[in-house]
Amino acid sequence: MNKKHMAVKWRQLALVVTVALFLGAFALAPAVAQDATNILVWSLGYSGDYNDVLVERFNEAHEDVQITYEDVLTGTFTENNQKVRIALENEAGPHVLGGVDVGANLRALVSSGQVKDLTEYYRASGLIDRIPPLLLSQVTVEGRIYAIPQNMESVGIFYNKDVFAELELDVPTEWAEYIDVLEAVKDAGYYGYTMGLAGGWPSALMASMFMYSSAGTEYIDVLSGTQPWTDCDNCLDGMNAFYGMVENGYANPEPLGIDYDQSLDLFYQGITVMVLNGPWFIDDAVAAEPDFEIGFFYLPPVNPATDIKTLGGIGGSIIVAEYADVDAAFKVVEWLTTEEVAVQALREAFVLPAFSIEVPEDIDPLTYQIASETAANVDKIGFWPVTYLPPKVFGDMNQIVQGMIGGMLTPEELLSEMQETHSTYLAEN
Amino acid sequence: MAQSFSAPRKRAASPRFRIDLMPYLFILPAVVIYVIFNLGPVLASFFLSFFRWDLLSPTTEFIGFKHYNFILNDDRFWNALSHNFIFLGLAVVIPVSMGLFLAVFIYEIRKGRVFFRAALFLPAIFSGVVIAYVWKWIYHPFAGVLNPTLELVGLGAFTQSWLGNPKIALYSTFIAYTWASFGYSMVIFLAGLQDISTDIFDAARVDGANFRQKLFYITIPCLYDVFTFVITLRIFTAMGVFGVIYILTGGGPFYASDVIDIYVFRMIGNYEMGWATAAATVNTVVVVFLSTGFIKYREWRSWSS
Repeated sequence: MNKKHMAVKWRQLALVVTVALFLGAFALAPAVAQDATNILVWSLGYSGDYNDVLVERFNEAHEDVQITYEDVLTGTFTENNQKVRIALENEAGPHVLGGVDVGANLRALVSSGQVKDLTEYYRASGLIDRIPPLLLSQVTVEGRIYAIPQNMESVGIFYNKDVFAELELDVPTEWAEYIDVLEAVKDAGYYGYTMGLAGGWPSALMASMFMYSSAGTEYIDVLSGTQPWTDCDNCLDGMNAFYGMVENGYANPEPLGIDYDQSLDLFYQGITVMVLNGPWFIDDAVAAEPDFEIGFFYLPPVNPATDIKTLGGIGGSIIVAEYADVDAAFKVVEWLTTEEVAVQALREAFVLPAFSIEVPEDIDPLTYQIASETAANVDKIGFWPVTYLPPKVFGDMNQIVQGMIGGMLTPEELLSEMQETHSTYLAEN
Repeated sequence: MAQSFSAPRKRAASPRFRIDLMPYLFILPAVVIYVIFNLGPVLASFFLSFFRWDLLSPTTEFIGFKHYNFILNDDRFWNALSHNFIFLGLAVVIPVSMGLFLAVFIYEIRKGRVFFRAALFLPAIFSGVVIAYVWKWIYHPFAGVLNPTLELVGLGAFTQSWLGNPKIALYSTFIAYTWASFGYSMVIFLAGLQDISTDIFDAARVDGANFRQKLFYITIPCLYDVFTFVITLRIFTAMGVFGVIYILTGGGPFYASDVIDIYVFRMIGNYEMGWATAAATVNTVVVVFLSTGFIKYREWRSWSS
């Protein structure tokens, strides 16, 4: 056999082996794919990178269900809500959505028939025993449970511990003490309260924190439209307290000339000493690496009799109604609420769980403090105003609060303006 | 003898009635794209304005002219529209006149023409978002460059919160808009200037015309059609201004810099699609009325003179 003939033989053999491998791969591939149920997920309730981490962990730990993650929700709160709504309405959405702002969206999703009723799954899994009743109310519509509470936020004051130590200040627990702290900070040449309201969005949240802090659940009646804004004297006290931050020189100058991000720079640079914010701030603060230690306390109540301690909201996991394999989808949702995943998320992504867990002490001290305080006050949360207000009225509220901070409206006029806006909307709808 | 049977030839159409399809075939792709991506959405938007729809519900509710009625009685809509008109009034004067004078300046100089043309046109090629963020930092009350510069040159009395003061917030956004837009006007005027025969300028020079006389008696009259185009362009951009204002002020503080497109965007953000599209439709009608009216007026003036 000559060399040429040998080469032809080898080529033929190589061809046969290649074809056999291809055929084998095609034959085996469907068998592997058929074994695992694929769940399309747009978010697991965390930032993009951490979603990737969780998906990898889930897929490693499960053989029967595999997550395919699409990083679609990369925009602002409003943009993401729009994407979800448009996709669901066009039957082009994912199977599972984690961390949906249930307060702002769940009722609309339920009334349009876009989400699965998870009541029976919820009871069977035993999750029902781990969710505080107030948080459970946020995922319940007309007695049925449509989302699994997953993570939560609660707002408080982050402060510069070094300045507090320098001025020998204690963490205030009452409103009068808080004012004393603001005065001391002001006398020392700092600004006590960080405020950046250009662009709008923190305005309504800050105003709401002060109104909850003074009116408590009465503010919920106002937001729900069952009590007129102008009849809520405690709300007025809250607004006077909020306006006092500007009027008395406690807040940084030009709060309407800088936006939220720019205002945080003032805090990181040590120009302001306290900032009202939520747990999402920790991630930002870690990245900013300020050269001082940050502490946390809840805003002392403007009215000592208030029954609400903080402002917050919860993210819930939902299963899209059109998706048939609820068992597989629920496996993903249930896994997200395991203690192991929750502790990891607390440790690695600074996200608080919306169900009871044993908060480990070996995590970042600031995260530990917020998680512990939130767990201790989980029945005293006033939910985001958009939970109760129509989105349009909430959007207007941001501008109207700017009007008060800029001196164009008094606190009384703010309440009148809100009443007019709210009642006009309700009359039109 | 072989006979040939052939169909009687059709008589060729007379040149007077022949329709040449070729030009239509050439523009067909553009027309299809225009209909799908421009005209279609505009018509769909107009149609949607008669319905209540929250982006989510599979059903929409027909409510007739209710959204139009609401918008036309909404003070905030008129407030936003009035700001568009202020913007428009300023936009047809300032960026246009800046563009004209810079174009004349560049046309007149002999050395460095390319450099100046590129340098002055540079802001126009930046994305509106980038420009808005640049100006956001220029206006920053603590870290911005504007207030310290004013203090440095002895104009400290004018330092203030450029975006936080409701009396000037709209005008502050207009400065950023002008910075981004005068370059377009300038290059269009420059192209128009280069079309004017140099013989006219040479003749004027021989007759002893000075710069002012050449500008007002030759340049501006010869750029009549260019003016029409540039101002029409300004009508479109001023009535549709969005990005710069949205990033700088979000329409605030307290609606002080609100314009129609931000009003519409806010409505969309609130899932009020019917209201949003009704407001957008009203704005479209206003823009069409203004631009068509302006063009017709210019044509009438051109014919009458």
